[in-house]
Amino acid sequence: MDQMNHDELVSLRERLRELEETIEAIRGGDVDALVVDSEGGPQIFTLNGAEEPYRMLVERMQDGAISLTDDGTIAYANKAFAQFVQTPLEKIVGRPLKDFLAAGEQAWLPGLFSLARQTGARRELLFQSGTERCPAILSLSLLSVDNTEAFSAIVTDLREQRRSEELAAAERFMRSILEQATDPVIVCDLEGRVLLMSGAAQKLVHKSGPRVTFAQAFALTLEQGHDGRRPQSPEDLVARALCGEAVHGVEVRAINLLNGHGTVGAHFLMSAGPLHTNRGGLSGCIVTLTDISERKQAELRQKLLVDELNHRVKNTLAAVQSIAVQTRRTTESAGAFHQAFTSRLMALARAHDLVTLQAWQGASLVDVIRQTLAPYIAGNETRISIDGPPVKLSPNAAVTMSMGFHELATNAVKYGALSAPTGHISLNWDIDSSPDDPAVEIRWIESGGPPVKTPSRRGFGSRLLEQGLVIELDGAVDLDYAETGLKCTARLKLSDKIAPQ
Amino acid sequence: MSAPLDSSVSLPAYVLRLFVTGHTPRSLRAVDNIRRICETHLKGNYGLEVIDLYQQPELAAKEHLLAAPTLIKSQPLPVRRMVGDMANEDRVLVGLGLAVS
Repeated sequence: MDQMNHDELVSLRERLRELEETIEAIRGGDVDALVVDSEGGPQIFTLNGAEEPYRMLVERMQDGAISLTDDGTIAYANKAFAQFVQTPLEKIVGRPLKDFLAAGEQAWLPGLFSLARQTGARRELLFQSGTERCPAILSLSLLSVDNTEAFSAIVTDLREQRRSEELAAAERFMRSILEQATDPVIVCDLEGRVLLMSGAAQKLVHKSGPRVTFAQAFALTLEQGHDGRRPQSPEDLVARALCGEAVHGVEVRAINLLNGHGTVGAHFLMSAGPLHTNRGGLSGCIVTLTDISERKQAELRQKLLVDELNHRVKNTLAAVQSIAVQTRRTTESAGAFHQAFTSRLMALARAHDLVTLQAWQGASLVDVIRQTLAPYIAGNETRISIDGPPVKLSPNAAVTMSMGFHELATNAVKYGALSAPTGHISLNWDIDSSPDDPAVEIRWIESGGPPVKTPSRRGFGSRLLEQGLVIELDGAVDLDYAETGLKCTARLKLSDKIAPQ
Repeated sequence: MSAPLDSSVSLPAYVLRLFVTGHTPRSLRAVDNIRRICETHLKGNYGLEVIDLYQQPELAAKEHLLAAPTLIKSQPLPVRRMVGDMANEDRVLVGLGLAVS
């Protein structure tokens, strides 16, 4: 029993010593907080200095932090809130929160306080910051301080976020414009590296990859010097744009498009201009390429046509002169000369019409025949048969052939198959593709006309066929004055002047 | 097949709980001091839990705390409490039963 009392005594002494130490620590300022039991559980009473770290935390927050009394009066505000509403701290505490909201926003507060009492409230509101209406998120929570209702609020400035959103929207907008642009458009940074490009530009890319420069991405060469300064390359144009100078409409040519989408040798008008930031500084350049390949081809075609026309006019005048001389030699009266000469000029004109219609690209044999014989075929459709595979003639060959057929037809009308009602002309041709002597063989065979006599002298038609055609088309022409009807066989070597179509 | 028990694994002889109030300088000092003392005198033979009263006030009630920081030595017996920032090492060693007053 004595032993038990001794143990209890030791324990009591220990507890007494603990209590004495605790009281001594409290008295000596060695504790941060006291714990007091209450009905709702232990309450912690923070002693002087204990809340300092939290105050520092709140003061250094990026967001605005405020506490409010139950009637919405601001009891505390941190520096971030003061900066946000552009009001000194000493002019904030004691004023109602609604004073800091933009006009028209105060009406939200009663509902927000009501919601905060239940679950907490969060809403985007416009605050008045100087002369600016600034968006912010207000997060409102109920606080219970000494059994008194109060609120804490966090105010998150949305201006930066809005600016980022606007920037992102602007970039999306720019990207969508670039994607829709039918011309190649390329945006480069200050180092001339490609940042963005339109869908049309992507089809021209010669080399792709991160941080690729304009010169690497697009293999272009300058077509000619520009405004006297003669930049050495399209990269120089980019460099000039990056120095703030706008360059418009310089002709360039794609030299090596490997991706297979573009046309090698395509022509573009290249324009480059500086891109400025909203503060006026340079941020890069924008390059546009306008495809003018079709225009260039049209210009080239037009030049060729003009050259060809000049050539034709000279040739035609020479031909007219030759026809006049030859016709005078082979006609005996002025009336006969006039008739023959006019008829030949008309044939020449029809041949020219045909090749002009084909833009001096030549004509097909069957078209030349039908065009030349049109005046003779009319009313004689069953008397003239035309048959053969497609054959292409050069412009010169077409005119010569046309003149030849004209001579044969006028001869047939005057003396041959078309001078009698029962006469018939078979005009047919075929292609001999034998490797030794590939040629087109054209046969003009008259029948049913009056008996044919070999002419006593050679006229214009015979000369044209036997000499003109042979010289122009490198071949052989055989005129057979058979009694049953004239047979003319022309064997013309295949060449770029006459070839299967 | 069960793994053989590792005889080297044993519970620490000293079980300590330090009650603090957030990151006050005194609480931070208390944590720092008790860790240093334990590492010096009880290395490998103690378990220390640091409890923030603000976050777990119910533990304060359970332990009948009066103030913070408070260190409670629950093992080895007898249970012993010390209040303050544990700056007085001699006193802490006496409290832990590692020295005689």
